[in-house]
Formats: sequence, structure tokens, C-alpha cells
Amino acid sequence: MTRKRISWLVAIPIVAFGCGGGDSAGKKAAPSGDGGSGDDAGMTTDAETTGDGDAGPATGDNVAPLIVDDGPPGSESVDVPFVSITLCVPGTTTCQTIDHVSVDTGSSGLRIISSVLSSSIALPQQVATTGSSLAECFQFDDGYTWGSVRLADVKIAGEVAAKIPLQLIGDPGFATVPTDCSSAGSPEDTVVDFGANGIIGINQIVSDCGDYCAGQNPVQTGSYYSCTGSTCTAVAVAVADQVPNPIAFFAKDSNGAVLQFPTVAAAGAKTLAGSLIFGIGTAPNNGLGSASVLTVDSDGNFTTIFNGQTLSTSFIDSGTNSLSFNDTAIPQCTSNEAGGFFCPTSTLSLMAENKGQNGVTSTVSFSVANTDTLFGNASYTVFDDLAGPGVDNTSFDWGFPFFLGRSVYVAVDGATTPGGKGPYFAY
Amino acid sequence: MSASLARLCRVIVAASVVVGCSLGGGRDARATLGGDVASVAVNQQRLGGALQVQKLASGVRHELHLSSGMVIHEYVSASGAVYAITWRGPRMPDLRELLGPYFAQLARHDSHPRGGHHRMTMTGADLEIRSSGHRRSFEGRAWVPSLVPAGVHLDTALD
Repeated sequence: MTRKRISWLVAIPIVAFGCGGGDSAGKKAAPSGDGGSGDDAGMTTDAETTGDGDAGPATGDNVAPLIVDDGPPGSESVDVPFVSITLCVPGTTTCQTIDHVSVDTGSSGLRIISSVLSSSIALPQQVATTGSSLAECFQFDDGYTWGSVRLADVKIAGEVAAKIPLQLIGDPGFATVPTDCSSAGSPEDTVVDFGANGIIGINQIVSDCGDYCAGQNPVQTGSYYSCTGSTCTAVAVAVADQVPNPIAFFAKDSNGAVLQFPTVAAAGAKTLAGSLIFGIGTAPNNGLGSASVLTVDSDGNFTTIFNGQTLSTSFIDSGTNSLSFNDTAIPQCTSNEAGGFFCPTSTLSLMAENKGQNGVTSTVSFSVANTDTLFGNASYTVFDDLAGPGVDNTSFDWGFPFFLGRSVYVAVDGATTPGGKGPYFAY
Repeated sequence: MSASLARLCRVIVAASVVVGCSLGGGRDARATLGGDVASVAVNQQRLGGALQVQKLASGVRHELHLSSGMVIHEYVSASGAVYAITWRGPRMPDLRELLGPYFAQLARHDSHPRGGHHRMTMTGADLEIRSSGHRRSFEGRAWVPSLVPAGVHLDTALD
């Protein structure tokens, strides 16, 4: 299927976005003298196709604009929220702003595809306990990313995380992927394969791997590696030295974040603007209000009760582009285009109950549309009723459609908020 | 692991009884999708952690607990073929080993149709894969449709 780029994208001054698709050197923008986050707050889009506009974008120095669109060239994304972030060589004003970094509540850590980073942004290499260069294999559920671990000052909106580790995916200096990394599935080391210029994981659990990767006996393979030349060996990395959710290292507003989006029509929308607001209860624009606080376990899970089944490893994930759950009564699509999604004959209105580890419950209504019909509007990239089957009957993955028309709060593990200590989701 | 222990496990598989069998050394699972029952036993010599074999209404299920915390189930039909594999744990399993000849299809699969990295559905050549999860919490399954025994409904048969 061929999808056309949304026309307004090409109208944005390239300096504001730092770099374009990153699929060729010619698309890289010169690094800016100073950071400043991607100033795309003023973007306007066709009002008829960009959501209902019932919630104006938030304002403040703790607010980063979010955009849902089809992503960098070739990615054909639907239901993926993107943000612009600025990377600086630590302690300097040598910076670059990178657009189309996807926002993922289901993982932790900042990862940038190396091809979008200007060669003049020489981020220092993180060193393993061995004294050699530290590299990482990061596993997603659909593949893996491989690259070096670098240090950068990370700036988003008015927030700064100074000198934190990030993964530089596809770093040409680390061309040989260890076999026990690539055994995780398919590689996602380019913009096209990854579908974004990078990803910012803002999961409640701050470190990207935790104790699992810190253990010495045995050192787990498939995660962190100590590399000398093209020879890389699995290495343990202390939790504090792992690639982290940058929010926890902000100088302020470090206790979590709010993802805020307006609603969209049942048929969807071409694009949608939202807000990533940093902090919970730290500013006038990020109070909990009447939101239900559902605490999660050490893996980030709560319980969803759906169709009489208790799904005890359920979660809210902006990094899944659909609602994902099992219901054998709902037909699955058979077309190539919509394979892996649901195709009911007419839109279904369903309900489920979420229950936090703290016992707080919340009833959620949601819709499941025919994905062939949704994708029939080829220029649309935002749907609140896109859904598909999960793996088994233990989990309900509240993917991106859940975020539409809501403020979803993600509280950092151990952080103090007006709703109690994290980790929790609230909405 | 000694050859005699390997033979013992092979006998256990053949007898299809419920039994625990602790195996030493090794790395990830080597039982491969589409392989035969003899290869399952041989390959499982390399596992770290514990193995349980349970008889099902149709065939047997091998449950493998690896030192990483990963739990892998391998389903072997009455005719002796590994027709499905499921996993759950803090990382993705060694799919090169588990999928065997089917891994190449996954490795070249466009894993990113339309966005998101925490869910995958793949339909290949006589191969289906589902994967889902989030930070340190992975689950998935893979099966070979042509090898699934008649009367076995995967929605309820796999766990």
C-alpha cells in the first residue's frame, strides 16, 4: 500500500525538526547551536481530520508537543505518538533536535537511530566495568535493536536530563551483532525497519533491564555487551548505569508524565496533536484531578477483567498501536493489509474493568471497528477503535487507542506524587 | 549431561509420564519447531534448569524452566512432531534455536507493519508467530499449522 506524506510536514522548517527521515545523508539538518526542543507547537493541521479538538494543547515549559502521523518516510505508522527531543554533547551547546521519536510507556530508555544523528554530534561512549566500550542489545516484542551506549544531555520542552546513557542504534562502529542478540528475531536498526527516528521509553520502572542485567552469576546474554573491536561479550551492568527513562533524571518534574490527547471520530483522523506533560502534580497543568490511580506490580502490570476472565498481566502501553486482547468471538481480518487485527462485521462496543494492585477499580468502555474499513482511509493515521488479538488469555494490552480522549499519568517507581508513590498508571 | 541421562529423558518422553527431570549446564532451549520427538530429547540436553513432561489429550507438553526465569512449553503431537512452542519470561527466548528452520522467516520478516514494538503477529509459510509484552515481560507463541493435530484448538490447547 502506498501512503502519501501529509503535506504539512514538508512545510515545517527543517531546522525546527533537526533532521528528517534520516534515510539519507541529505536529509540530515545541521545541528543547532543550542537545543531548544522541536518547536512544533504552532503547527496547524486540517481541522476536519485532526480530531475533535475538545482539549486544547497544554502549555508550559514542561509540555512537549506530541504528533500522531504516518512517521518517517517508509514507516506508514498508525496510532504511534511521536515527540521531538534534543541531544547535546554533555556540558556543551553542541546539540541536535530529532523529530519523530516514538513515545513508549512500555519500555524504558532513550534510543536513537544512529543515521539521523549528525556526525558533528560526537556523543561520548559509555564504558563497561571491563574498561571496554559498552553496547546493548535491546529486545522488543517484534525484534531487537543493537548499538552502542552513549552519554548525552537530553532536552525535551524545558526539561533537561544531564549526561544520561542512551542507546545509539545501528552505530556503524559496532557493526557485528552478537549471535545471542540476533536470536531474538528480526533486526530493527534502521529508520525504515524501526519505523521511527528513535524511541523514548518512559515506563515507570526507570532502568531498562533492572536486576536481570545486573547479575554476575550468571551474566545474562542478549542484553549488555562489552566490546573490543568487533568482539563483544555479555557483561553485567549495575542498575544505576543502565539506559534509563530520562524523566527520572530531569532536574524538575521528574516524578512522571502525562500523555494527553483529544478524542477522534470513529472513522479516525489523518493526524492528531497531543501533549506530553512532565511531572505529576508539580505544576498547574499536571494535577491528577479526579483520575483513578491504579498501582502496578514490579513488572508494571495490573489486572483487567474482561469477558469474565481475570487478566492479571495487563498494562497500558503507548508503544502498542492497537488494543490487544483475546476474544474468539471477534473475527480476525484476512486481508494482507489488516492481517493481525480484528474485523467485526460492525463496530463493537465493549467494556472491561481495570483493577490496580491497590484494589482501585475503573470501568473502561471501548470500541472495536473493522480494520479493513479503518485502513480503507489510506491517509488516516489515528484510530480509537483499532484492535487485534493478543497472545493468550492472561493479558489485556491497552495500546494507543486507550490514550485518545484521556489524560494518562505514568508515575515513576518510588517517586512521590499527590496520588501516592509510583509505580502507577492513572487516568 | 551424561549419555545415560539423555537416554533416560528420551525414555521419559517416550513413556509420556509426568515427571521432573533436572538437567545441568547448557544455554537456551534447542528443541526446534517442526522437529521430531527424538530431536527434542537430544536438544534438551543443553538446557539449564528443570524439565517436566506432561501427557496431554493429544501428545505431550514439555515444560522448560530456564535459569533466566524463562518458561518454555513445547507441544509434541502423538505422531512425534513439535507443532507449537510458547514462551513467557523476562526476555525473548533464543528463537534461532526454538524455531530451527523456521527462524529465517522471522529474521527477514518486516516486523514493523504500521507501528508499535510491543506486539507482533506474523503469518509466514506454514508458520504463525504471536508476540506481546513490555519491559521485562515477554510472552509469545509459534506454531506450524500443518503439524497441529486434528481436533486441537490452539486457543485453548496452549498455555
